[in-house]
Parts: sequence; structure tokens; C-alpha cells
Amino acid sequence: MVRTLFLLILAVVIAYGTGCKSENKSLPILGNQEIINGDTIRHIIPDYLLTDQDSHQLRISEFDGKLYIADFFFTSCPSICPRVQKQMLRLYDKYKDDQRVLLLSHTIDQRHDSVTVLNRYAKNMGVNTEKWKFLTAEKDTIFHLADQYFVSVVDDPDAPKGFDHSGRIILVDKNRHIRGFCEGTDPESVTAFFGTVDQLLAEEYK
Amino acid sequence: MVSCKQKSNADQGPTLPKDATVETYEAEILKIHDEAMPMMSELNQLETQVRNIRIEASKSDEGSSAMPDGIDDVLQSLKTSQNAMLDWMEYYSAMRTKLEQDVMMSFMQAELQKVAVVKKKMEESISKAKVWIAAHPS
Repeated sequence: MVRTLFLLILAVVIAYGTGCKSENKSLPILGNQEIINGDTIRHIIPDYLLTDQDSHQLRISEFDGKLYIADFFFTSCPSICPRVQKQMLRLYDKYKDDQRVLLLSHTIDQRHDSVTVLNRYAKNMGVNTEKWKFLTAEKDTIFHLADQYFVSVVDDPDAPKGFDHSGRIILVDKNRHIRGFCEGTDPESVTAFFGTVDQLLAEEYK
Repeated sequence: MVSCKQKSNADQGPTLPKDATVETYEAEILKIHDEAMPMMSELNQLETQVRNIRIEASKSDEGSSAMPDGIDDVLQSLKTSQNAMLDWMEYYSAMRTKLEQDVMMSFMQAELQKVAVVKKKMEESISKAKVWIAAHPS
């Protein structure tokens, strides 16, 4: 079996230096790719079992067929998360009536962010939880999931992977491939990200 | 104009100028918090590594005698330092919105010391785990 592993992270990050720029060419699939028996296997978000703010257990594959916008947060975060959630709220407002798009916020604080806390947080945000889900899971699951998201968008492939508290917001396509990201603490980056989401919508729903 | 320059030494923890405002304190607290948070992933990765070493050791025919010395201590240190940051954030965020302005300055002064201690604990825990793992390759 011929098995070759290509690390594309750096090239992709360089190509998409600003992270969120919308361009005319097709959005790349970010992350590692493997070639197995001549077939290219692209990085995909694994199908973990998560629990939402209403105690419903769901698999990530249930969102297949829709684009989703993901972030990692915790309800008690005093610094970056509130700024990122404000930007997520902008994205929610823009896409709340678009059935092709979902928002997923994953807590990394299993110690305090119980389902009850997430439920209350969602209510305080005043959002429709069919559109924007607040998710939790076992600590190892969430950290590994964060690895799978952030491995594709870190600037330095040698940097520690996983939740880096950078506030990045990530765009995933309907096949669970990562297609874009932006800096959730930077409103201008998020404004540009609207273009990335729109471009992916145009590509995936021709 | 208030200087935000932070002074610190190993014994005293961070100190700000006498005329520092609540806002200055808060900015310094959040700066330390933001510097510490990226360590959460590393702490979790190290915890997973040490737990895997423990799982492998538990499969040995030698029973509990095969368990490497110090493994519980290292694991506990990794867990405690992660929880310390999570607990600090929970407390800080809750109190920040509840307290009256007249006690806010003393609160911020105390929290600056606390978050510095938490960050130090995280750094020490990472160093300790790395040294231990290097001495106990799986």
C-alpha cells in the first residue's frame, strides 16, 4: 500500500494569509491529506457524539448536508470568548433564516458548563437553538475535536494543537471538510468571513 | 497617566503602580489569563499521555508494582492546574458582575495575585509532567 502523508497546513495558511479573504477561485479543503492506494483522503471532522443545550445527544454527522460555523468557548471566559460570541451573533443574525447554515459552539469547560448552564446561556443570548447549538462532551472528546478543527488553521504546524484561545471561527462544509476560518476577536476579519461563507454556499448549492 | 508596567518577582507576584485603576488591574488580570489559557490544551495532552502510560502499566503481569513512581502525583498536578484555571474563571466572572464599585479595587488586587498563581501552577505542572514523561517513556 502506498501511503503518503502531505502536511498542507503551512501552504494553505500562506495561501490564505488573511484567513478570511473571499476569492473567486474555489475554496480549498484545509488540513492534512493522505493518499492511500492512489485515492486522496481529505481531512474530515470526526463523527463524535455530543450533547446539546437541551440534553439531546447528537452526532456531528447529523449536520452533514449543511454548512456549519464552529467555535470553542466557555460561559465563564472573561476575555476573548465574549468578543467571539458577539461576532458569532453577527453570523447568526445574517444566516438565521438560511436553512443551509448552522452554528455550533463547543464548551471546553466541562467542569462548570453543564447542560443546564448551556441552556441558560443560550436563552440569555436569545437565539434559536435549532439554528445555533451549544454543545458539550467528555473533556477528552472536546479537546480531540478541537485538535481536529484547529490543526487545519494554526499558523505554525509545530505549535501546540487544540484549543488555543485565539478565538478562531471555523467554516465546515456539508461533507465535514474545513473550508475557511477567521479571527473571531476581529470584527473586520468576521466581516470578510461573510464573503467566505457566501462563496461556499454558492459552491455547494449550485 | 498610569503606567501599566507590571513588576513581578517569584515571591511577591505581580504588582501595579499605586495609582493603578480598576481598569488597569482588570487589563493586567486578563492579560495573564490570556497568556495562560493556551496551556490548557498542552495540559490535557500531557494528562492523556500520562494516563496512557498508566493504562499500559496496569496491563503488566507485575501488577501494581509495575506502576511507575510518581505517576499519581503527576496526574494530580495536571488535573489540579487545569481545574484551578477553570475555577478561577468561574469565580472571577461571577463576582465581577456582582460586586459593588467600592469593593472592586480590593477584589481586582486579590484576583491579580490569584490568576498569577494559577498561571504559575500551570507552567510548573507542564514542566513537571514533561520531566516525568521523559524519564518514563511509554
